[in-house]
Amino acid sequence: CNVLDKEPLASVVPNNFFQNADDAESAITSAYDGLQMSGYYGQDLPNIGMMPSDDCTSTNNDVNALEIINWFPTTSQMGNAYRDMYRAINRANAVIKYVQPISMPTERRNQILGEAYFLRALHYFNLVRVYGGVPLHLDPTESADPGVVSIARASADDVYAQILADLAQAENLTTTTFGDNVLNRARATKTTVNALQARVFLTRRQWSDAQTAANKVLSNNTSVLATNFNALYPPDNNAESIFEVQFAGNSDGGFLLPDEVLPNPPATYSYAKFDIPTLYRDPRLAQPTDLTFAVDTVNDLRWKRGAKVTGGVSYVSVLYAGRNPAKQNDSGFFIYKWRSNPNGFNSPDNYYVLRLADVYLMYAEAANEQSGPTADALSKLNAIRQRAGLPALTLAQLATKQAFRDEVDLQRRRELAFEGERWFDLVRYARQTQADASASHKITALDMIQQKRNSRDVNYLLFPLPQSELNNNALIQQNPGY
Amino acid sequence: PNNTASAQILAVNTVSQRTTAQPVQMVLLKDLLGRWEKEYGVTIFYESQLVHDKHVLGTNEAATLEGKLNNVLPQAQLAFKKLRADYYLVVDAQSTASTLGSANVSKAEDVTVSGRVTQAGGDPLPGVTVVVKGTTTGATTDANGAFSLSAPVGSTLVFSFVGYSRKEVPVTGATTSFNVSLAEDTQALNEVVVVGYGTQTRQQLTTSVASVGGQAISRQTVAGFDQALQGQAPGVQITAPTGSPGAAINVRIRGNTSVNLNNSPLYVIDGVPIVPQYDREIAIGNQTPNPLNSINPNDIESIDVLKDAAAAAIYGVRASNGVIVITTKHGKSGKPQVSLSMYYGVQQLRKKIDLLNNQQFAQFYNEARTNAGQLPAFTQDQINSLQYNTDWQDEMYRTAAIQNYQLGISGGTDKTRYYASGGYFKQDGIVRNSGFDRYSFKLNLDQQVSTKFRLGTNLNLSRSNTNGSVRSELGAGSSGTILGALAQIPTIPVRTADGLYGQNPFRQIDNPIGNLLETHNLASTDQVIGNLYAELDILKNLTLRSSAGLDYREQLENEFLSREYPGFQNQASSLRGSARTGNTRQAVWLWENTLTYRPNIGEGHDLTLLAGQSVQESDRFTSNAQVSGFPSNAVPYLSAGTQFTRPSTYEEQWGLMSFFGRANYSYEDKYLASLSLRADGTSRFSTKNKFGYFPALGLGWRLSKEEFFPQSKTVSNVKIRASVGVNGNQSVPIYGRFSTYSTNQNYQGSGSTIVGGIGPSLTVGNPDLKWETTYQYNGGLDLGFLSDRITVTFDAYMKRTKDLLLTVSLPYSAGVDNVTRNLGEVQNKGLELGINTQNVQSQNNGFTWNTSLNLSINRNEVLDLGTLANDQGQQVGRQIITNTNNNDFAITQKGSPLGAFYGYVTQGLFQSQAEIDAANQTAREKSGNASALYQSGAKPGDIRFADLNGDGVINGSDRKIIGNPNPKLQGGITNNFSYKGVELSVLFQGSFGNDIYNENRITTEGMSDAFNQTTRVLDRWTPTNTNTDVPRAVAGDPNQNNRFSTRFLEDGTYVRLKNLTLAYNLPANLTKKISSSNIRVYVTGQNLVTWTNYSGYDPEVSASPFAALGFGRDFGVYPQARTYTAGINVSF
Repeated sequence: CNVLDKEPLASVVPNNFFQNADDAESAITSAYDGLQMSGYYGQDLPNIGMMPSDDCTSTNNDVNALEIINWFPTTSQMGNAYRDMYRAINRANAVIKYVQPISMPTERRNQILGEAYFLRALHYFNLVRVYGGVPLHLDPTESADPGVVSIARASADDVYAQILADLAQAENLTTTTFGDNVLNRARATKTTVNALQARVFLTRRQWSDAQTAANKVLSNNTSVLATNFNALYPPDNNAESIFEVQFAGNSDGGFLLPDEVLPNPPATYSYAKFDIPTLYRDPRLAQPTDLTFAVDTVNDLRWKRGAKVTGGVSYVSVLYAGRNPAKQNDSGFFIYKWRSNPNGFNSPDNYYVLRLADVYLMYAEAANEQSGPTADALSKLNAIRQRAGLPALTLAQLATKQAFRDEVDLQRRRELAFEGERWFDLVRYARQTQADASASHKITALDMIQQKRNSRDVNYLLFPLPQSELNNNALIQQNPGY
Repeated sequence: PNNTASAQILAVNTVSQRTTAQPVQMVLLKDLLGRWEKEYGVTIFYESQLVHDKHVLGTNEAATLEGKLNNVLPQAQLAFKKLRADYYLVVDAQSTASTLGSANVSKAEDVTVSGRVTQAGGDPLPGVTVVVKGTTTGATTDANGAFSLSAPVGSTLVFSFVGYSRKEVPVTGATTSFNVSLAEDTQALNEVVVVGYGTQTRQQLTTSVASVGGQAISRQTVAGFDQALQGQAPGVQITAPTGSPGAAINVRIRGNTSVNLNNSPLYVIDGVPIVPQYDREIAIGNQTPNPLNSINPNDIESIDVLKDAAAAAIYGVRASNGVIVITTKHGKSGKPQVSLSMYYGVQQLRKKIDLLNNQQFAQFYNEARTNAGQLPAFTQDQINSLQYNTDWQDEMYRTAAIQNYQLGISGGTDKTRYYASGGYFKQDGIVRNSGFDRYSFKLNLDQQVSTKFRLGTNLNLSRSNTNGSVRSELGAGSSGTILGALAQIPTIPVRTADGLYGQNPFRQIDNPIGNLLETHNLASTDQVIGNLYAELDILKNLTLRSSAGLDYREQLENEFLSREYPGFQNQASSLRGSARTGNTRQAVWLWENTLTYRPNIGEGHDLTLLAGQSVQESDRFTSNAQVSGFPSNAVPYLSAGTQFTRPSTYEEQWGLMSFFGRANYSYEDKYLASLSLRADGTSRFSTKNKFGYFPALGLGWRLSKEEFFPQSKTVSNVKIRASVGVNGNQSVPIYGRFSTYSTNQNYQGSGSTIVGGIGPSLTVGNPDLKWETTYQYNGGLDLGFLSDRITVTFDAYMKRTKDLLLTVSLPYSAGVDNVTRNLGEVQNKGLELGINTQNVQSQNNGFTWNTSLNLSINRNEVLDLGTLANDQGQQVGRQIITNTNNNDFAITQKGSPLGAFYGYVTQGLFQSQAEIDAANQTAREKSGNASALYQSGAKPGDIRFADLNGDGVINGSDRKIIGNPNPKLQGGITNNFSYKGVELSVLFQGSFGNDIYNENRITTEGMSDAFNQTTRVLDRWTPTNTNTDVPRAVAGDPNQNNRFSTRFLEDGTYVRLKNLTLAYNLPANLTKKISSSNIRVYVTGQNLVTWTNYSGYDPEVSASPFAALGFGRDFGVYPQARTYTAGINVSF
């Protein structure tokens, strides 16, 4: 009878959903929306990739544990990132499961499925980099049966195998290009998939595969290097971009990071920022590895003051001693890569996940690791140097594999500072040396662990799994050392 | 059930027609008198043994009632006496021979006695029976309490009235000022108890029901009756989780039964079960508005708390937490009585917390930074010349007014009775810019249309306004106002010279004063709770009642954050200012039909049968919208803003369809039984679990009525009760059985437009959901001593709740948060004791002293929470860990109480690096890990936590249950004294043995950030101050000194002088001069004195007031006020 029969009014019951092409579009939109969550690209994942490294410092308690490598299963970013990445996976899984049988134009359906595979691969790649092997969920969670929700960790190798399988699927299913500059950066295309493949192979030290994947990106002209480094910021689906998380400020908020790294103004709030460690701010605390010492503020266009922007005398990824020494929180050196006016933590700027300069450097690195310096690899490296106003180097100047490696490391650091990759690069370098003692990098994650914890504890190359997962999943085991 | 009921109606009709169709036959006198009562609309009163089962020849000859009585009564050797127009007394013809007709023939020794009967407080008591002892001579009092009769000198007048202690006063001579005051007798055996769909007298009860009279409620100067119940009834735990005016009160009957659902009792106001908690669309902090505040406490006649399952089972699937039945005042026939009452008072903060001054703060903060390897924040020169020393508490709190005005009129005729009142209550908050006010209107109307048909309405209308601008239960860094005032540093001004709010230069934390004063969060709620009923006596003893009820709420919330709000200080001018609006409309309809049948089944047997059916449906619609970027504060409406945030609307519905029946039986008031069953069908569960059945049985034996029981005044009453019953709890999320996909997962995925996304929601639906089932066993003992001058009620109960509806957190890796599941079992066992004594009694307004004491003990234990497989494949018990601000603090697991505090145990401080090195060495040896540390980050002066599992390393496994938020014992004691119109009432109330997690101290004693600290940190560890348990100051807290441990756990025991009222009733000769029947003036103190060791503002506190787990935590909670009021009640 009617009194006892009440269906939800303001939400959808799945039986009624996934009926047509519109529903497939809504579902893939939801899967992309997963990228915006605050535990993910909105805030915590970039901080995980940034704070423990030598590029960033903060007296802010929110990230203190991350910075001083004193993290615990209860450290908030550990839980938030893990939780939000899995939420995003669940959304991608729903698309993969339900869009397949929908009656709709095949090409469009394939594209949507390809994007879902790409997103799932991206999420698992981020998870495996942060936590090591994790549970592999490949279907949307629709039942709370222990067999469905409580799964043991897969090995890191198995997770990588799944990532590569998903990327292979995605490469097959996605379109080469949408023909639309914005869409090509907002949604996954073949180029996007190849760029991520390059990063995955590089992380796995499969140099040849990495070079091949990077080469696919380079030989496809969907993305081209911007002539002016300054024009890359704030990220807004420009020609060099490959994949960006799209944020829209107040109308579709969630990008918290800019307010945390910018001084006020343009940041909404004044409080201790996540900024660049600097000699000038606190000489006693300076470390020789600090970003301050790694950049060239005289010749390098990336680290010279650029054009004035709205809201202050502030510049691109430029060291700038803050304008108001009396405001302790807002003096020092800041990164101005996301510099539009954030409004209450809602920045309208986008966030780079992949851009072409990164692929150039990945290509150069992969080539050098296989066969030492070559003209081909050097040309990719020089393209990045020259765009920054630095002279091209010759093979004579980078005669050895080690010298070339050091230069790639340096350019990656200067080029991609604060874009969420530094800590993962440092971990990658440490792993490479672990696997092959002769492959040494000037700075690795173990150096940072030594610096901050006074021991070269390899356990800190992985973060702890969050306490909540341990509490609720009896099949899970914590990483060693936590 | 419907068919059965109709069959009964038919059967009874047939029998009844047969008796009336043959009037000349012998009929039962009892029936005849009953029929005439209805026919003539009068009361014919007799003692049952007089009429017994006597039969008489019926008569049709006489036309008048008196003629008929004169025809019939002599056949049974009976006579009658007409006490007033509609009241006849049947008496024994022999014993009354001498006085019969005395109205006509006045005897020489008789004198005329007249006077007035009043109740405590001086209000007249109409309808009191006054009888000359041993005779039938008598009278009843009129609307002014006045009576007049003739009685012999030396005789005794007996005054009696339902609900009041009987009183005997000797007649010494003719008088016109025979004034008698009757005391309210809450434990009287003939007290009427409202048990849901009917009433019983207390002597008939087989179940556990606590009753509180209206007077004990209205004496207290609080917004809602629920708060006034505190300390008044055994087994009822009331805590005001916050001092915020108008906020909801936490009410628990016999402990928490549920891990995850609402633990509030069901409230039934004038027969309308109401939704116990309201959500707000744009609430700040955790406080929810209190629907019970829509009822003016002064309009309440009585409150009956149905505690055991047998009493509550008639409310079925909503009764697991007990039921509180509220009956409002009704008019009494008599001339209109107008009453005016008002009070005015002031409220103050109970105590301030001692905090550091500017220099002490600067020194502490420098030390914290230096210890963390950062540069000092202040130079010595700066410390010596600090400009400001702001006391944020002084800026935040104020002395606030509380006031209440009420005008009421009641009265009626034989056919119509009315009670109407209008009231205004206003409570300003002791925190600036907060408060609550209420306009209430009450109308109760009862109309007798014919002798068989009655109509009436009970209507409660109110508008309440809550200023919710205080951000309570929030951290200092999350704009919390209360904690902000404790944590904001003293070295900055409230406002700088240029008029801007001062900012903390070290840490983003709002200026709490600016935050508060620039916030305008106002909620206005219009509410109607009421019903319209019709009652038809199908037969003399078969009544049909149909009632349509409504619980309707329209709530409008508006919030405006002005352009000067500190959070906007750093924003572009064009973005400053923001406004939100939220609107909720909820209508809960109720239609109920009951049949009550009292068949005559022979002498001594009393049977009442009830059958009923009920349908209830709710529809709630909400909308909200938000806009920011206001060019000016002048127009704080959404249309003035420039930046639009997504608006939203939402709607939800539920339905409940129920059938119920009950049989109450007693034999010679000696053997008592009650049997009931309710079937509830609810929309929240799927087809297979649609209907739940909730039976109950209660038995009672009045031992003192047995012949073998020695009849004495010393032991005047002994009753043994036992009951068992089943109740349910259905308060799952309304659509919890469905797996849903959520909207609003939007993304700017194609160019500049934002595209709507729909994807899996964060909960998994469970089609197997069903209600929680509570089985409760109750044993009780009611005793009366010294002619019931001392009454004792004792109850022991065991309550087991099975199929707990548990929101089970799922592993993060499942990509969903939780699922609701029927799992586990919780037990509450307890003892309750209520004692009422009339310590000193006297006549004619002499000294009297009554005491009422109640004590309750409840032990709560989780019996089962299900199991999970661990990594060795073993099944281990589930643990639910509750956390706040990323800090675990409570655990729920088998064998422990719900929400037990769970954390580390402190073991002093590390005094030296050598001590730490030694601990690390042990850690390495035990763990076999060369880089293991006992506690990473530990330095001398940090807390050493105990290694509970002995593995040499401190981690999550070194936690245990360290406290219990549930009290071991709670109780209240009220003493009422009166002498010659002066009354003193003193209520003490207390809670013993509960722990409080004082989470405020993480901020105010944590010494890890740029927050002000309590003066306790002056004793912090330094290399030169080592004999202390306060750790060192260090920014960032690398050792996690502030993790939840025994350090922040405190004893929450308290005893409080809750209410003290001193009143004076002006003498009648004085009041008459201003043509008033009664004037009472009084002063009241609320929360006057509190004895406790708790270091926070108030031990009566909960930052998550309605959470079944995680209560007993103090975090930025609005403190309770101490209140002094003066008032006056006048009636005409």
